Amino acid sequence: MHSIDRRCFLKSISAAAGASVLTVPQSFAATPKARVVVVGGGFGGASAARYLRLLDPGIDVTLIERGKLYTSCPLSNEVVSGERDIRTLQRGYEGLARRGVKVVHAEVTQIDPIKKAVTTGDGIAYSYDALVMAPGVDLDYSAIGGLTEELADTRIPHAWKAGPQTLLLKKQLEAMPDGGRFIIAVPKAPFRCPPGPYERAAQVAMHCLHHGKKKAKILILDSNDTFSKRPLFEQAWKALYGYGPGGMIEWIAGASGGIVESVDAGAMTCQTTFDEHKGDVINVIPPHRAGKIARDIGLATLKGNWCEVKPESMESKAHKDIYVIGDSCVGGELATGNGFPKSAHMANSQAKVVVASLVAKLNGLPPPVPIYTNTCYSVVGHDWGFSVVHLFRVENNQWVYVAKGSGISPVTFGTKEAPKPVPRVYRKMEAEYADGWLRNLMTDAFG
Amino acid sequence: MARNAWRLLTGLWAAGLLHSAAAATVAAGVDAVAPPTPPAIANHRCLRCHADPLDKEVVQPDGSRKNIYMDPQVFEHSVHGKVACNGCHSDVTKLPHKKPLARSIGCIECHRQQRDRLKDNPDPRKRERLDVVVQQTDNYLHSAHARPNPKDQSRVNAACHDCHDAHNIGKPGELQRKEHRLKNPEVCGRCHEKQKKDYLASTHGKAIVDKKDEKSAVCSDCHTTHSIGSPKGDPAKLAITQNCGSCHDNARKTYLASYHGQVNRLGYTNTAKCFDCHGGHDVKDAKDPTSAVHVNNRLENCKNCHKEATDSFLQFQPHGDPDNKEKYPWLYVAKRFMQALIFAVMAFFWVHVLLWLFREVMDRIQGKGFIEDLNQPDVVFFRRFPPVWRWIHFLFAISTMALILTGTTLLFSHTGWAKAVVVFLGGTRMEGIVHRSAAVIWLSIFLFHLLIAITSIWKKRKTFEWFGGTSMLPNWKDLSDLRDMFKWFLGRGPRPQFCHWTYWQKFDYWAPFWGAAVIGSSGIMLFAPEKTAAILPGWVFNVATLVHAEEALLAAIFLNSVHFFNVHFRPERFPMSTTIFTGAIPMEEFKHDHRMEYERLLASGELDKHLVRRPSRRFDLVASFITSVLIIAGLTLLTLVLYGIGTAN
Amino acid sequence: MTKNLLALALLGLSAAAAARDDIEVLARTCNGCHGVGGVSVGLSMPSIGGLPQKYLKNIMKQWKYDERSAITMNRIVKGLSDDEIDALAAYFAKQRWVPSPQPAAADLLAKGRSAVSENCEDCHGITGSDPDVDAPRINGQWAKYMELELLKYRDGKFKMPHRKMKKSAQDMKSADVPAAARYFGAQDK
Repeated sequence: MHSIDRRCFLKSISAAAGASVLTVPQSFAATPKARVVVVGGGFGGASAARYLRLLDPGIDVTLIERGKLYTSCPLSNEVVSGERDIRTLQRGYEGLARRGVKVVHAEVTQIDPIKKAVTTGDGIAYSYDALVMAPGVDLDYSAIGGLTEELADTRIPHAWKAGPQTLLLKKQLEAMPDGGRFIIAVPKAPFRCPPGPYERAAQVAMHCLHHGKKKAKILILDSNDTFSKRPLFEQAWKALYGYGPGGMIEWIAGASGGIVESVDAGAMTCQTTFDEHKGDVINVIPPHRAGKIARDIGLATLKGNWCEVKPESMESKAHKDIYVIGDSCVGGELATGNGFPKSAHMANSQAKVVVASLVAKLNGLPPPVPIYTNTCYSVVGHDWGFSVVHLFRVENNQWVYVAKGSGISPVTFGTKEAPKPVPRVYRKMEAEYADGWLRNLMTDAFG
Repeated sequence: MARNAWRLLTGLWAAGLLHSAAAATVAAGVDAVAPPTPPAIANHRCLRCHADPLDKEVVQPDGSRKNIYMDPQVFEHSVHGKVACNGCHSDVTKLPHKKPLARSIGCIECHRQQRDRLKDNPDPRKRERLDVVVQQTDNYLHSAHARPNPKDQSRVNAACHDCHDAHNIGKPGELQRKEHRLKNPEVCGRCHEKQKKDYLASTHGKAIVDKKDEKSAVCSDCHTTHSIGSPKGDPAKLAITQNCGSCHDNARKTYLASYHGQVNRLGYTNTAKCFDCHGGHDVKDAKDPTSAVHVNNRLENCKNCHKEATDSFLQFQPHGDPDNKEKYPWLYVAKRFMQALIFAVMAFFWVHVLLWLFREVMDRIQGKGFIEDLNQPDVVFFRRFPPVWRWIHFLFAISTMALILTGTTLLFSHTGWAKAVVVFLGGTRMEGIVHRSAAVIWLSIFLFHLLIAITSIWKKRKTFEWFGGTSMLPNWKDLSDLRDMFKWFLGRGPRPQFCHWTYWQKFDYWAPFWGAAVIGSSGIMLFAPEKTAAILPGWVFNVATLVHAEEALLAAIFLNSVHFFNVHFRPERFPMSTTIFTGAIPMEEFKHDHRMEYERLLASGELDKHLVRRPSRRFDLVASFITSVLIIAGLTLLTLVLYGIGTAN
Repeated sequence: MTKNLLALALLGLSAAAAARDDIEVLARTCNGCHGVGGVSVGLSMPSIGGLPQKYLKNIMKQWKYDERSAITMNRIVKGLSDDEIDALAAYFAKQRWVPSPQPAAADLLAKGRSAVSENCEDCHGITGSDPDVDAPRINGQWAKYMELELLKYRDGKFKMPHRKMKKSAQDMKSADVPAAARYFGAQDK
C-alpha cells in the first residue's frame, strides 16, 4: 500500500512539476529536484531524512551525523536500572540508506547560510537547497562549578545522551551499597526529556528495591519548582518506593534549595545554594542549549540558547531555507507555558511538518496545514507506566496548544471531592505501551 | 445446498423421532441428530447475535434497520426446533457470515425432499403432515404470491417467510398455530393495508382482535392459505364464496339452492356471491346499521345488480330455507306439497310400470299377448296423428329436453356433468338464453295446440262427445280401465279394451297443462324478476324457484321413465314406437291397443278413411332414427337427473 | 455579491485542496505509534491500516466522547474534530492490512485455535482475516496488543461498549486468553 500511496502522491506532484517527470522516475532523474542536507541523525534528523525520501524520492537527501549507532534516550533509564539491554535502543543508519538517504558520518564544522553549503570536518562541502538542522542539545558543563566534560565521562555522568554514560551510570548504581545515596541534579528548564529525571529516580529506586538496597536514597535536586507529570510521579513514587523525607525518593525543589551550583568529584558532593549533599552516585544533568553548530551560525535567536522557528514550516527565523527541529528549537504556546516538550516524538512530529512543507514547496504545491503531536511514556516500575500527550495546531501563523487533545494519564478517577484511585491495570497497560511506542517511533525515524 | 438440505432433513427426522418417542429415545435421539457430517455451525453460535434481546436490530447498508432477533425458546418449541440454523439459512457456510444475507431459504425443495425420503415409511403419520406441506407449497407455486413482483421482478410477491415465521411454526393443535392464526390479518395486512383496515372493522376482525376468537374468519379462511389468486379472477371469487360456506354452513346450503348460488356453483360469478351482498373485508352483522345487509341498506345492495329492483325485493329471502318451518312457512309448505306430488305420481306410475312389465313378461312366457306375426307383416296402418300433431310433439319433445337439460344444470350444479354442459353451451348466460328460448317455443306450441284443439272441437261441436271415446277428457271408463288394468296385471282379469285414448295417454296429455301452469308461471317470474317484483311480493321468487325446480324434476323423471315405458319399452312395443313421427300405427297394434276404437270405426264404416299404407322404408328409418335419438337423449337426461338427485347433499 | 461568491468558491477550492493534503499530514502523526500506513512494529501497539472504516470511526468517536475506555488514545482523539476522525478512519481503512505473523509453539497454537473457534471465530473468522462487518481483522495483529485489549474487555474496570465482544472475552478461560492472542498473532492470512 505504501508504494501505491507514494505513486498517487507522485502523480499529483508530477502533474504539478510537469509532464516530463511522468516518464522518468524521480530517483533516476539526472539532476535531483532539490538537494536537502540534514544535520544531525537523532530522532528529528532521521525522521526528516526518511520522510523526505518517502514523500518525494526525487529529492536528494544527505544526512550528516557524527555517530554510526544511535541510542535512543527514551526508555534509556531502563538501561540504567538494568531492566533493559541498551542494544534494544540502538539503531544504525542502514534503514535510511536503503531509502536513498546519503548518510555521511562526519562532524559538521561550518555552515554557510548564504552560499547554502555545509562543510564537514574532512573539508567536504555539501551545498543544499534546504537545510534541516537537528543538532540536538549541547550540555553547558560550565554552568556547574567543578564539572567538566571529562568528569562527566568518568565520575559524574549526566547520562543525558544515551550511550556510554548510560552504561557508566548503570555501573555506578550497581556498585552503590545499601543505604547509599543517588543524587540526580536537574537543570533549569527547558531541558531534553522533561519527565526523564523523575523516571530515572523511579527506575533507580526500583533497582535498589530489587537488589536488596531498601535503605538507599534517591535525592532529586531540582533547579525548578515543579516538573512534568508531577502528580503521576509522586503518586507512583509514594506507592512503589516511598516518597518524601522518610521515603526512598526525595525531591527538593529549586526554591527549597534544589539548585546545584557546583560539584566536588573528589568528595562526591553537590553544592546547592545553601546545602551540601553527599552522594554515592552523583548524576548531574547540566543545563541545555541548542547544539553548538546551530548557535554558531546564529540560529539560536532566543537568548542565544534556543532556535526560534516559524510555526507553519519550522523554518528558522534567522535564516531562509534552514529548518530547525528537535531539542534545539523552541516552539509551542510559550506564553502560556505550553511550549514544545523536548521529546523524541516531538522531534519526529516536527520533522514531518518540515518535510510536508518542504515537499509541497519544492513541488509548487500549496503549503499544508501543519499539526504537531507528541506522545511520551514514562516507565516508573514494573507494570507502572504513564504518558503525556500533546497536540499543537497552527492558527494565524501561531502555535496553539490544544488542551483538549493534550494531557497526562489520569491521576485519579471519580470527582475532585471524592477521588477514586486509577486501577493499576491502567498503569500496567501504559508500561506495556511504552515499549511498543518506542519500537514504532524508532522505526518511523530510522526505518 | 445438498448438504444443508440433508442436514435439515436429518434434523426434521430426528425431531420427529424425539417427538414420537419422547422418553426412551433421548439417547437414541442424540444419535439420530448426529448428521453424517457435523453441522458447520452450531445453533448456539448463531444465537449469540440473533438471540440477544438487547441488540435486536442491525442497521443495513442502505441505512434501514432490520430486526435480527429470534426468541430461542419459541424456536425450540417450533417444528423446526431441532434444525440447524444454516440448514435453512443455507448461504451461511461460515461465521461471520456475509451481510446482508442473501435469502436462500429453500423451504419448498427441502420439504419435498423430506417427503420423498419418507415416501416408503410404513408409518403414515410421518408422511401425512409433510404431504400437506408439500401440497400447500405446490398450491403456493401456482398462486398469485409466487408470481414475480411487478415492481421488482427479482422477487416474488410474497415468499414463504413473508407470511410464515419459520422459527415459530407449531404442530397442528399447538399454541403457536392459534397465535399464527390470530396474527393472520396482521401478516397479510403488511402488504394489503387497506383490506386490513376494512377487515379490522368487520365482525370477523373484531372477533379476532377483541375477543381473540380463533373461530372467527381470518384472511386465509376466505382467500385460502396458499392458493391465493387475484381477487379479480373467477377462481378466487368462487373459492372465497366456497370458503365462507365452510363456516356458515347453513347459509351456504340455502345460498346454493338459490339461483345465485346455483350459477356460482357451476363456476360462474355473474350472480351475487357472498361478498356482493354482505361485503367482503368489511362484512358486518345485519343488525349493524353500517352493514351492507342491514335492512336499510339492503335494497341498495340489490340494486348493484338488479338496477330496477323494487321494495318487494326486500321480501325475497336469499337464504330462504324450505326446511325451516318456523322461519319460512310458505316455502316449507310449497316444498312439502311438491314433494308429495312427485312422490305420489312417481310411486303410482312406477308401480304401474312394474306391474305392467311383470304381466307382459309373464304373458310372453306363457305364449300369450300381442306378438308380432313375422309371416304376416303389417301392410295396413291406421293413421293416428295428422302431421301438425306430429310436429307439435316433435318440437315439444325437443324443447322439453332442452329445458330439462339446461334447467337441471342449475339444479344439479354440484355435478360434473352440469358444469360440462354449461361450459359446452358457453356459460350460464348462454344457457339462460337457450333455456328461455326453449321455454318460449314450448309455451308457443302449447298455446298453438290449444288453438287447434279448440278449433277442431268447435268445428265438430254439434257431434263432439265430450266424454266419448275420441275425447281427451277423462271419463268414468278411464277409472274402470285403470281398475281392470291392475286386475290384468295381477292375472285376475283380461286386459281392458281401450278406445281412441287410453287413460295413461290422457294423463300424459293433461300433465303438461299442470306443468305449463306451474313451470310456466314460475319461470316467467324468474325470467323477469324486476317486473314481477313490481306487482308481487319478493317471497314469490323463493316459491317460484322451488316449484319450478320440483315440477321440472317431476316432468323430467315422469316423461323419461313412465312415458317412455308406456309408449316404447313395454315388451309389446319394445324397443320403440315410431307412431308419433310416422303418424301411423300398424293395424294389428291398433286393434290390440284401441280395440273399441277399431270396432267403432269398423262398425261405422269410417275405418277406411283412416287406413294408410305402410310408411315407406325410408320414412320408417327416419322416424326410427329420430325416435332413437330422442329416447337416448331422454334416457341420458333421466340418468343425469337421477345422478344429480342421488349425489345432492 | 458575485465577487464575494467567487471568493468564497475559491476559498472553498483551496480549502478542499488543502484538506486533501491535510489528511496525509494528519495521518502521518499516527505513524509514530502505529507505523507508516498503520503497520505497527511495536508488540503492544496495534496495526491499524486496513481495518474497517466503521470500526475505526466508531472506536475513535467512542473514545472521544468517553463512551469507551482507553488509556492513551482517548486523550489524543479528543483533540480531533469529528471530520478529522472520519477522514482518518477512511484513510487507514484504505490502507492494506499487513499481518505481522508471530511464530508460536504448535501446542499453544492448537490451544489457541480451539479457544478461538469457541469464542472468537463467529465475529472475527477462524484466522481473524475474515471478520464481521463491524469487527476488525486480527490475523497477524500483535498478540501482545490483543492480550492487553482482552484484558480491558475482561477486566470490569473498563468501559467497553461492544457487549458481544465483552461477553465473549469474559467467557474465555484465563489460560485461553494468551493462547487465543498468540494464535491470531501467528496467522499470516
